[in-house]
Amino acid sequence: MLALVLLVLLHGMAVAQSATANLYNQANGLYSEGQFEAARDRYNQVAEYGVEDARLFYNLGNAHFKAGELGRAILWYERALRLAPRDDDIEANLRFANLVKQDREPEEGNVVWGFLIDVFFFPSLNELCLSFSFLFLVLFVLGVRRMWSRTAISAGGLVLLVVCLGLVTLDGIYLGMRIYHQETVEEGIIVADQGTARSGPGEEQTTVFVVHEGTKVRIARRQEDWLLVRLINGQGGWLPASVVEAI
Amino acid sequence: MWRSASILIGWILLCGGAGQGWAQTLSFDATVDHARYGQADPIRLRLTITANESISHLPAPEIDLKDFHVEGPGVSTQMNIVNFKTTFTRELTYTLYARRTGKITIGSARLKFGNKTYETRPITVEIAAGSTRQLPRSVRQNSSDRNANIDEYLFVAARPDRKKAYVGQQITVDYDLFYRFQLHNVGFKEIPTFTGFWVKELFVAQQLEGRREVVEGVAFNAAPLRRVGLFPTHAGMHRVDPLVVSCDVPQGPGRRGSLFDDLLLGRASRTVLLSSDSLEVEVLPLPEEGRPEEFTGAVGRFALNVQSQPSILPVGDPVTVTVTIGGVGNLDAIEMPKIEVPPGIKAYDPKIEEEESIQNGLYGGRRTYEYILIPEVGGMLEVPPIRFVYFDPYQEMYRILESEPIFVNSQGAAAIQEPESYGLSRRDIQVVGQDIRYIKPNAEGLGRGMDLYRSVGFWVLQGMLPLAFLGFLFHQRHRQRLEGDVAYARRRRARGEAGRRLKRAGELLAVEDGGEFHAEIQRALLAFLADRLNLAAAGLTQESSARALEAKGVEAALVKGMRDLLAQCDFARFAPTAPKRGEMEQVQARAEKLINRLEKVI
Repeated sequence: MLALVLLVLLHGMAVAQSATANLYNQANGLYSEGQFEAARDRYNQVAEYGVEDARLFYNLGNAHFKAGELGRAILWYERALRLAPRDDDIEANLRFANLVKQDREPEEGNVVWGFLIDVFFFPSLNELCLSFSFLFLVLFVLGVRRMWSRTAISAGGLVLLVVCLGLVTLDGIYLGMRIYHQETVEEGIIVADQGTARSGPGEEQTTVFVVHEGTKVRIARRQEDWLLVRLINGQGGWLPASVVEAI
Repeated sequence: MWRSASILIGWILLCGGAGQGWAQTLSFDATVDHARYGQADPIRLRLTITANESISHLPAPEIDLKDFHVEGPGVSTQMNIVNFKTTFTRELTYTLYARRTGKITIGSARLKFGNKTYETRPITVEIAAGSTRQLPRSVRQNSSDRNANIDEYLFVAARPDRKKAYVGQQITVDYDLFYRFQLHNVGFKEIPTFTGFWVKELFVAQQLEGRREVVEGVAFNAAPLRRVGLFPTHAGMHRVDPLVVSCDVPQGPGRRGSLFDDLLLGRASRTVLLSSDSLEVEVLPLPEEGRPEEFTGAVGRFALNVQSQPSILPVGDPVTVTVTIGGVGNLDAIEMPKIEVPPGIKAYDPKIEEEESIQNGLYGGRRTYEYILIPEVGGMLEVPPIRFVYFDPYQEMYRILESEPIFVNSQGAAAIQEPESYGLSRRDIQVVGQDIRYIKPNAEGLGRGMDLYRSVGFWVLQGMLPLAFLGFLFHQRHRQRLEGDVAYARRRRARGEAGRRLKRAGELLAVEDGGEFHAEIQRALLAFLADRLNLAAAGLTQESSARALEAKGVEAALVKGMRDLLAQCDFARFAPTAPKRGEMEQVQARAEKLINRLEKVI
């Protein structure tokens, strides 16, 4: 009985899998024929099924780019990059799209700082979780082995145990920082042609600055249909929620 | 001395400063030294500016002198102080040579000073051919019977080697200076532009080197000045402009060769301009008749030499084919000979080298084309002969030069094409346009989104590891205690032992073996007590066990219950009648209850 249920479930999943993959492949075909708008809609359909795949996001970015929607292209490249932080194609296209967009990227103030940020975001969160899990398991096995053995601990064994403990601790702290960042820092991309940031949530407020399609902002707060966003240089302003899409 | 100088300077400054207040007075005049000149004679034009204030910052006056060759101006400035009035004079002296004869007007010169423009009166001079000046006495004496004309003893001759030529054929023009007395400062005044010709300068004199030449019975020194090769660019009548030379002619009386002359009168000379006659040349078009198709315009006399190296080589190696075209004629008219390579050979644009030379007054040289051919297939390959066509103007016919065919024996199979590795036409890849990278390929299946850190299972799994470790730790400690601590071990196993004995008693109850049943119950109780209290089971009696329990502080009721049960078992074991089943069940229940209660207190 249980086996039957499992079989049906698995089969259902497989069907869903192949259905989304089919849609994705169809969209690829449309893209290669130059029907970028149609390809974009098809890719979006796949994404609406809840598929989260760097390839899909990347192609979706490409389709948006070719359809002339720079903001959404950058949005999807950013999303793809979160899943596959070291993918060369994604990085290249994101860089290219950022060159094309209207607002200039603020220059990196410090090379060392930029490098540290790159290192910080080098692994994906899932990779970090897995590495933490693995190290933890190794520490567990080492501990149990130590417990089982009746001889006194050797110097090498002690070093190994301490190193492993240190690694697990560091990895845990790193993972914690990344999760904290993921949960607290929300970023978004301007998807409208232009967004007028105001000093408060409301059309009657003073205009503070104007951002253009493709610019990356930090979303600091939400209030009804307005978002308080901050630019990379720290300047803040309220934008209508329809202008920004969170990554 | 110093004092007087400073007073003078002070006066000048004062006057200069006071001058600002006066009205500006300025006079501007133009003068020439004569009214009539020969064309070869210099005309001295003097512009004089006189003012009552400093004119050192004045710009040069504007004057139109297009009918003359102009030298100068030389500038001299003067300052005069008369009766405390300072006048400044500036004199500009131009030396002019008329370009033509007849009446020529020197236009008025204009000068801007302050906000006023001053003009001089125009001057008209009359120019006659030759010279109106007196000749040096020595010359006049030598040719006293002749008209005193400078042409008689000093002229420039332009002599072409031919007056009729084909388009592209060289016409050599010699310019020679003929003179009969010492000359100084000979210089080119005007060099012809040679319109309609491609010009090659063959010789330019750095100094006069005269040889004796007799013209119309008069001996001259003839010095070559210039030799040009002219290559007509199109057919028709062409005019060659004259060459104009200036030189200083000695003047005044004196005996030739005397030291006195040289020292005192040597400098007494005047400058004359000499002009050669202009030439008319007839240029013939190249004949249409018999003109080969390959003819590209080379005119002259040429030779063709073709060499290739090496003749046997592996496929993919380069063959150098050197085509040399040399001879006389305009090298610029030679076009690159075409190599018609058979399929299987790749040819690159040649490297061109040129070497000029002059042979017997004719311009020429040689041009080398270095072609690189690369056989891309194996076998014997033949490159057809290279042809070169030119027109020989001396024999008035077209000539075709043809080389031997070139054979290339390339050995081996066609290798991977890597012509770029020879560095012949290697260049950086040109970025023509930029675009995003292409999409990712089709997929069998796509990943579902899952953040591990958000899944409960992941954290449960992580949590289970320390829990498992703790469990293992407790188990390990228990095991070690069992091994090392007898009392603990007995205590831990007491309940189990008692349970087993009670179970056996139950079996005995089933077979209604009264004696054995009660003995088992008794053993179970005593063994349990011995294990829990770590005493020797063998020496334990009703009394001793009761004392041990009391010593542990067990409540009296429990101790009494224990003693009663043990006493009852003792009695029943040795009783003559078999105990009833109901009683035995009761005993078992009491024993169990007792053990359970005792386990909690000891």
